[in-house]
Formats: sequence, structure tokens, C-alpha cells
Amino acid sequence: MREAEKAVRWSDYKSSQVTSTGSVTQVSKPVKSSDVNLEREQGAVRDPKLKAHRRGNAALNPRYTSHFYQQCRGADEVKIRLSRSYVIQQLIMAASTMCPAMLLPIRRINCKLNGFYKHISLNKTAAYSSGLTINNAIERQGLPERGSQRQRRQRRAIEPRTERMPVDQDWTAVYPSAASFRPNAVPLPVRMGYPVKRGVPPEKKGNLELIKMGTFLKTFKSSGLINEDVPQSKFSPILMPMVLEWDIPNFLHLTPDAIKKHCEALKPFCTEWPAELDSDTKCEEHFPIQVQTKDFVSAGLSLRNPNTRTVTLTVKLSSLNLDDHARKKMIKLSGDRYNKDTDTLTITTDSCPLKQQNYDYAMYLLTVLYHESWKTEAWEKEKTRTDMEEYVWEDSPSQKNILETLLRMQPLEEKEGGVQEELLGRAEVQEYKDSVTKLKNEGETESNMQQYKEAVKKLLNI
Amino acid sequence: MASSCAHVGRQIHKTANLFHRNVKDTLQRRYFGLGSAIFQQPAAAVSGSAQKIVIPRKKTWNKEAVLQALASTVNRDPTASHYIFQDDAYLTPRTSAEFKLYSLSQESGRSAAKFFINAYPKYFQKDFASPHIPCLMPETLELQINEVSEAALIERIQLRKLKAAVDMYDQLLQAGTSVPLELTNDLLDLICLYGDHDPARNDAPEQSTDDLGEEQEDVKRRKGMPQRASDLLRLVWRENNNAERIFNMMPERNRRSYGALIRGMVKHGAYTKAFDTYTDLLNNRLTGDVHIFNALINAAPEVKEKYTEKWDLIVDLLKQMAEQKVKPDLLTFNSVLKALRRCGSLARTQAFPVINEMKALGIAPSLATYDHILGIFYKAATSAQGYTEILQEVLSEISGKSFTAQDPDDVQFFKDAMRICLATKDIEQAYRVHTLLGVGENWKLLGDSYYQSIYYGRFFNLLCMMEHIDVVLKWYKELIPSLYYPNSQGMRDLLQALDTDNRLDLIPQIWKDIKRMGHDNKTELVEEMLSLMAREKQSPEVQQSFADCALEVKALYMQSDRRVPLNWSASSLSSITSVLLEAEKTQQAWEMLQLFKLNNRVPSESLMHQFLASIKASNNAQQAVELVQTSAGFCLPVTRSLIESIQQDFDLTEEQSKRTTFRQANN
Repeated sequence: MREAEKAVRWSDYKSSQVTSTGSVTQVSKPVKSSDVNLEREQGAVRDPKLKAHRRGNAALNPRYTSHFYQQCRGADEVKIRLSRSYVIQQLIMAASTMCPAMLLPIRRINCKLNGFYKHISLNKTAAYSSGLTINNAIERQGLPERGSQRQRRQRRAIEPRTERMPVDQDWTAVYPSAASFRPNAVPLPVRMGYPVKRGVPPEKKGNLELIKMGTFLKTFKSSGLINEDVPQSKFSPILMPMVLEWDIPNFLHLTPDAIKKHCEALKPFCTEWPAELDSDTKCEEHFPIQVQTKDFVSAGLSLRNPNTRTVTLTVKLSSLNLDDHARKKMIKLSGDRYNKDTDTLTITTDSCPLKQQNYDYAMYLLTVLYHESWKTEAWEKEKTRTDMEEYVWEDSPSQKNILETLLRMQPLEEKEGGVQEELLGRAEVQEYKDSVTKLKNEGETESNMQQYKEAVKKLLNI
Repeated sequence: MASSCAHVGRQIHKTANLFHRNVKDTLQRRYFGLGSAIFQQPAAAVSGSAQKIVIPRKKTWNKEAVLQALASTVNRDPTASHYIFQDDAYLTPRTSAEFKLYSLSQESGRSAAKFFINAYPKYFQKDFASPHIPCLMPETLELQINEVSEAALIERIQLRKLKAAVDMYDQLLQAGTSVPLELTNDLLDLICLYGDHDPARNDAPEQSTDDLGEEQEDVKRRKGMPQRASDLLRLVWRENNNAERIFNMMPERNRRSYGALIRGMVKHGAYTKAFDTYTDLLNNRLTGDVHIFNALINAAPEVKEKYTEKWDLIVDLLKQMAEQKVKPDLLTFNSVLKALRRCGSLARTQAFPVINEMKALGIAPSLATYDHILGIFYKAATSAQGYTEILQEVLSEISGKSFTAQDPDDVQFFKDAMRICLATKDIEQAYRVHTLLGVGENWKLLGDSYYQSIYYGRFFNLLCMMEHIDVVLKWYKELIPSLYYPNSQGMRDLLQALDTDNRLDLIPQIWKDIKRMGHDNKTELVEEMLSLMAREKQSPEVQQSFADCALEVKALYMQSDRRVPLNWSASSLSSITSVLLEAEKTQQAWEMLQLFKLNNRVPSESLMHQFLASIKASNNAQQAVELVQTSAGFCLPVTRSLIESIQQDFDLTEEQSKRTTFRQANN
């Protein structure tokens, strides 16, 4: 939350800076005012209508959101909502820092905020009519009628249909697909929002906080910000993951029952899993390369989602046919794409616009890597001991020294050729070699030191 | 909104399979060509290991298949109203009138939007959707080509600007250019389809009502309303209209020109003319096609008077079809059967040969065929004795089948079948019809909301008549109010069903629904409910809820700002009073008694006795005297006996006895 607040201040500061430079005055102003007005309103608002208005906008306001956060800490929705307000701030920030060439998106943000306000005020009237209903009820009880000149009778709300719902109803029929929260259709005593005067959070009827999550994104998407006009490099790192998060208004349509039904319905579309591939090891053995892609479904203006283009290819190096040189070269070439712990090479491609292109590119990369690592260039012969990736005991000063020491320990007449090999073949020497290699390659840990000590002791017969 | 952008499937293609085991040996060479050929066959079987792994082929399906599969998991929600409405306690329609109003307003809003988009296309050029959705973009409805040319005529025909097209045609002829035959036929088709009137644009703003121009007619027909007679009258085939004029001017005519004219004439009611044109066609040594014959068969019952003559004409037409080697289709047989419905007693003997002919030709009947058969055998006026098994046979033939719309009359079937079930009081068949409605896409053939309400009304009526009350209530919850808004007669049927099975304790619940559906202003219904409540004494809790109901009814009667105020009748007054008395709400009951006087109604004797009994129970002498005074005020003959019993049962003070005896003396 603090981050978001910081972002607001910073964006204010930034936008005012932009204003002072003069070139983008009329564009940056509305953005700023719509954002800042909210904060000012908090001070002295007497009009109850305005108050309600303000309450409706609580999510836009970082301070309110933080209150809310304290109220129901731990709830999952909080994360979603926080990220939302954070995104707005980020957006405004990004918009205000952009060069004049990016004016179009700024105007769009402005539109979007206005659209959001309109939405709130619409809902506000709905909330007010419930008040009028009470008046009507009082009138009917025999109190003197005030507005007799009124032409039409006020329309009354019928009892919500939750009253008529049987306990064992088929919930998946009530919420068959993603829809914003409908108090009329959800038979749960849900409460949400900022409590007034230390009371409880408002109930579900006419509660914007419950409805808002989805609708906000609608205005956002219809502004076209997400899909077009925005340079990916600027926006996608901030925006995209957030959008994915609060694209979900609620999960009322995704109950376990519904998911079970969907799975049953989708089964005919799946092919049978090959019976021979019954374990993960077999899968890895026969199909060493895994390719991961994602498809997205959303109820928006566009079927396309830019994230579908990403292709991730993973392969275990051990399953490739590589000799020691090639393996080392491959690791060197792939850099941080290689995970030493799991021995996997991961290639992620997203530079092409289409999934198929990215897939082809990933395969191409793998092929090229493979061939390249099998090659030995002329300059590779110049590799010296210091260029090695790991310590090799053979021909090292350590080996020379130990041989010298051991030879000195031998009687003189046996100093003939072939003795060195015999010496190196000894178990103690092997042990010593192992311990030194370990010490050099893995670092000086206690056990390594201990092992080294034992090996030396054995070698020198101490 | 936005369904879980969550990925539907994180598809892990474990298909990579590049490396054959047996290839490994050759890989010792450093420059092994790891060919792309190996990459390209992900579905190949992997050999080399002990078992052979067979990777199944990728399945393909059409674009909607997944959506349809998912949609098939969703059932109807009986508590929700139609999906086009807002699911909100304020905005859900409660009566059929509201249903109509709301759906029409939504429709009109949509066409208003469409109008603005089409009227100002330059403001709606941004294409938001991806992929492109053509119907969201403005259509070009304005004429683009202004000079006199064939292209201009084609454009006018495509945009269905009838008058402009005819003008253009005339101008072309005056300029001396000859219009090709096919284009003239297109123009004829257009004129005959719309009966020489410009078709009203769906999205055009409505003209003021006093502008009784002929420009706006058939499209304005209300959805859900039966065709009004005036609509039919307006569209007539005028003598020498543009179609005939153009037809006569044509240098050469082919079968299509004749067909257009004949079908136009039949459509717009010039039946004899249609037959004359057909004779012309034959005289010109042309033959008809199946559409011409269908139109003529439809027209046949209109041109002849007697049943036998009608049938002879149809048979004659069919024979000519055979001569001209025209293969009949489903619509031909449906037209024959439809015409047979108007051939009286002849129909019953001729229907089966027609059906057999149909089967012989291998034409699958549609719902309209069955509807015509039912219509032939179950005339509304005549008794259906002896033919009861026809419906059963039809149903056993079509049960479990899914139909598609093939004939305009297909939508009549369900409501007619239900009518027959209701007439024969055959609940079994009604259930079968209703099951058939649930099969496949058959619900689409139920027709518009008007037909739907007829169908469900008949079904519910039959249920109320024949079924046990628990079953009725089960259907009631299922159908109302999501599919059907019953009228007040339907609610009365339900009340009678409650009465038959002695479940009057459910009345308060039903009363809630009556109020919601706006039937609380129907005097007959309300009075029937009140009399049912007042008839017997119930258990105390039920009686209490009855009393609440009765007070609500009273409040309704007292409301002054209603457009049609309810009038107190003697029976409603006394019913409410007696319900209140039974529930021991003496105070309110006394208030009711005052209302009798205000509304010039006279309470019944039994009500007076009821009052007396309740007073006896509370042993209130003062009230007893007042009762006698009220009774005497109405000059009831029961007053004397009241006085006697009061004098026996109560210890009256002197003044009280004086007042009672005073009354007695007056009587």
C-alpha cells in the first residue's frame, strides 16, 4: 500500500512538472484533478449525497483502501483490490512521465476514469431508491401523504429471488458463467466495504464494492488501453500481470461442482493418454523436450491475448547426446538459461508475434546450441588451466607435489619408471585426489576439510 | 465480466520426442545433422524401447463445439426470469404486461442505437473487436450511386429501396437501355415480396401516429401479439400495380418471372389472379416449379366454395406437378394438409393417403405436418370421440426426436397439441408433449412469448385440474414466474386445486405471488380467495396468517390512489370480517363492521351469529348491545333472535337492557 501512496505523490509531482513545462498542460490536468479531488473531498463534505459518492469511490482512494485492508486482512480479494489501485497509480504515473507522442493513451485514461465515475453515479441512484421505498411503506401505513401531486407510484422492489431458492438448488444454473455480483441471486449474507461510523461493512444490496471488481476492468478494456496503442515495452511489465489478477470479478461461477461438470463435458475433446507412458520417468525418457504454451479465455472485446505468443521450452542436458566438452560449452553458451540444480535448459521465446513462430524459433535455438557446442574452434585449444570451469587434479601442482613427496618416501633403488603409475593407482592417493578436488570445487566446508585431513593422514601414515 | 482470464489449459505438449534411441549411436559423430525432419513429426510413434508408444491423433472439432459442450452443462434456473432482463429486485418483470413492455423497450433501445450508428456511420468507424464483428459496424443504407445505370438498380434492389428501384427501372427504360432478364426478375421478386410497398426499416424512428401513411406497416406488428385484422387488410394486391406493370412491359418472360408474380399474388391475397397467371404460364409453354405449386395449393381453398371442388383442384394441381416432373417437397405436403383442414369431413379420409405418399417419397415430416394432422382430427367445435388415439400415435412417433424449423407453421404444434390434451383432459399426453419440448432444440419451436404463454397456460390449467396439489405446486415453482406469468384465471384454477386437495393453508403463500404478479386488483380472484379463507375454521397459526392476508386485502381496498379502485362487495366484506373474527382480532373485525355501513352493504345473518359467538367468548356485554344496535340499524330479521340470546347469556345493566328492549320494540 505504501508503494501505491508513494506513487500517487510522485505522480502528482510529476504531472505538475509536466504542466509547468507547458507542452501537455490540457492533457495532464484532468488526470491530476480527477485523482487529487478525491483526497480533497475527504476534508469537509457535509452533503450526504457527496458522502455516499465518496464512499463509492473508496477503492480509488489509497487511504480508504488501506482502511479496508486493515478491516479484512488476509482475504484474497484484498490483494486483488490493492493491485488494482496500484495499477491505476502506476498508469497515471506512466502516463504523466511519457513524452508528448504518448498523448493518446493519457486521454484514454482520463476517459476511463470518467466512465468509472458515471458508473458509480448510476448505481448510486439505485441505492437511493431503496430509501424511497421505505417512505412509500410509511405512507401506506396511514401517515399523511406528502407528495400527492406525484403522478406515478414509486416502483417497489419485490422480495429478492434468493427467498424463493430451495436449499438444494443447482447452483451452476444460477451462475453459469462469469458475471458481476448480483445481490438478488446470491443467497449469502455477504458484507463488504468501508464501515460507516464504526459499524459493520455495508450489506450486499446495492453494494458497489462487491460489483466493482469486474466492471472496472470493463471500462478499462473498452478504452482499448490493453490491446492496442500502448507500446508493449512500456506497459506490459507493469500492466499485464495485474490485469490477469483482477480480471476475475468473483468465483461464483467456478464452484467445484461446475468445474466437475465442465470437465465431464470436455472429456470427449481429449485424446487418451498413451498407456505405456505411465510414469514421469518414462515420459522424460521418451519425450525429453517439454514445450509450454498458454491459452487465455476472456470476455472482452478481443479474443487475442498477447501472452499466448510466449513459448517455453525445457530440456534436461543429460538427455542430450553431449560429450564433456560439448556439455561444458553448452552450459557456457546458454548462460543463466541453464539451471545447475535440476540440470535443465530453459529457452523462452516471445520476440515473434505468433506462437508458432516462437515455437519454431525456440527449436531453432536449441538446434543451433547443440551444434555449436559440438564444434571445437581453433582458439579453444588455447584454453589454459586457469580457464577451466572446474578443478582437475591430474597434472596439477598438487599432483606433482604429492608424487614428489611419495617418491621421496620410497627407497632409492625403486625409483624407476612405472612407479609413478603404481603410486597414483593406490587407494590412499585416489582418496587424496578426491578430497582435494572436492575442496577446490565445492569450497572449504567442515566436512571437506575433515575428509582432506583424513586423506593426508592416511597418505603419510601418520 | 471477464471470465477468469485464467488460462484454460496450460498445455504441456509432451510431444517433443526428438531423440530416437537408435539414433544415439550415430550421434558419436560431431557434426550430426539433427535434422529438422525429426522436429516435424511430433505424432510419430517412438520406437526403439521395449514397448511401442502410440501417440493418439490430434482431434479436431468445429469452432462452437466446446462452447456447446459447456453450455450443455447448464440447466434452467427456475427462480430467474428471462436472461434478457436485469437480475435485480427492482427491474425484474413481474407480469406478462411488464415482460412485454421491458423486452420491447430493450428492443427499441437497441434499434435506436442501430439507427444512430447507421445514420452517422462516420462516427463509428473504430473497430474495437478483434476478430472483426461485421454486425457491430454501421451498414451502408444510403444510396451511393446516383446516375441512371444498371449498377444503380442493383444497388437499390440490394438495399430494398423498392420505390427508388422501380423509378430507376422506369428511367432506364425511358433512356432506352434494355435491362437484363435476371435483373428484372430480381426487381419483380422484390416488389412481389413486399406487395409493392417500401419495406419499413427496422431501425427507422417511429412516425407520429396520425401519419397513416402506408410506409410503415407490417414490420410494426407487435411481437407477441396476434396479427391484427387491420394489418392484413392494408396489404392487398392492387390492380395494375408496379409488379404487373413491369411484368407486362417485359419483352420476354421466363419461369422465374411468372413464379415471382404468382407467389406475390398468393401472398397478398389475389388468389384468382394467381391462377390466371398460372394459365398464362402454361399457355406460354413453360412449366411451373415447386414454389409456384406450393403457392397455388395454398391458394386453392380460397378460390373454390365446396369441399369437393377444393380437393379436386388440389388433386389436379398435384397431377400437373407429376406431369411436369416437378418433385414435391415438404412444404408441398404441408400446404396440401393445410388446405385439407379447410375441406371439412373430406379431410379425415384424405389425410392418411397424403401421409403415405409423403413416406413413399421419403420426405421426413416436420412439426407443422403433425400439427395439420391434429388439426384435421381434432376440430375445436366437433367432439373428438373416436380419434383420441391419433394424438398418442403422433406422440409415440415423434417422441425423442429433435426438430428444426422448416415450415412457418412449425411453431403452432406445441400449443395445439396442448390444446387437445386440455380438451380431452389427458394429462399423460400432456406430459409427453412437455417432454418432447425438452428434447434437443425443440424449445426453439415453441414460438414467441405469446405462443409460449398460451402453451404454458394450457399446461398449467390441465395440471390444476388433473393433478394432486403437491405435483401442481412442484410445476408451479418450476414454471412460474420464470417461464410463464399466469393470468387471474390461472391463479383461480390454482386456488381451486388447493381447495380440492384441502391445502388451504398455502393460501398466504399464493397471495404473495398474486400480489407480485399484479393480480391483486382482480375483484373476482380476490373475492374467491377471501371466501376460501372464510369458509372453514383452521388451526390457530393458519388462521393468524389468514388474518394477515385479509388485512392486506383490506389495505388494498382502502387505497385511494389506484387507477381502478376496488369496490367493496358484501361477500368480500363479510369474508374478511369472519376471517378476522376467527383469528380473534375482534378490534379489526369491529372496524370492518363499520365499513358495511359506509359502503351501503348489508352483513349476513351468519356473520352476526359469528360476532355473537366471539362476544360470548369474551363476555363483553357492552359490545353485545352495540352488536344489537348495529344489527337493528341494518334492519336485519336476525335482530330479534340476537336480542333473545343476549338477554339469556349476559348480565345486562339496566340501561343496557333498556336499549336492547327499545330496539326490540322498534322492530
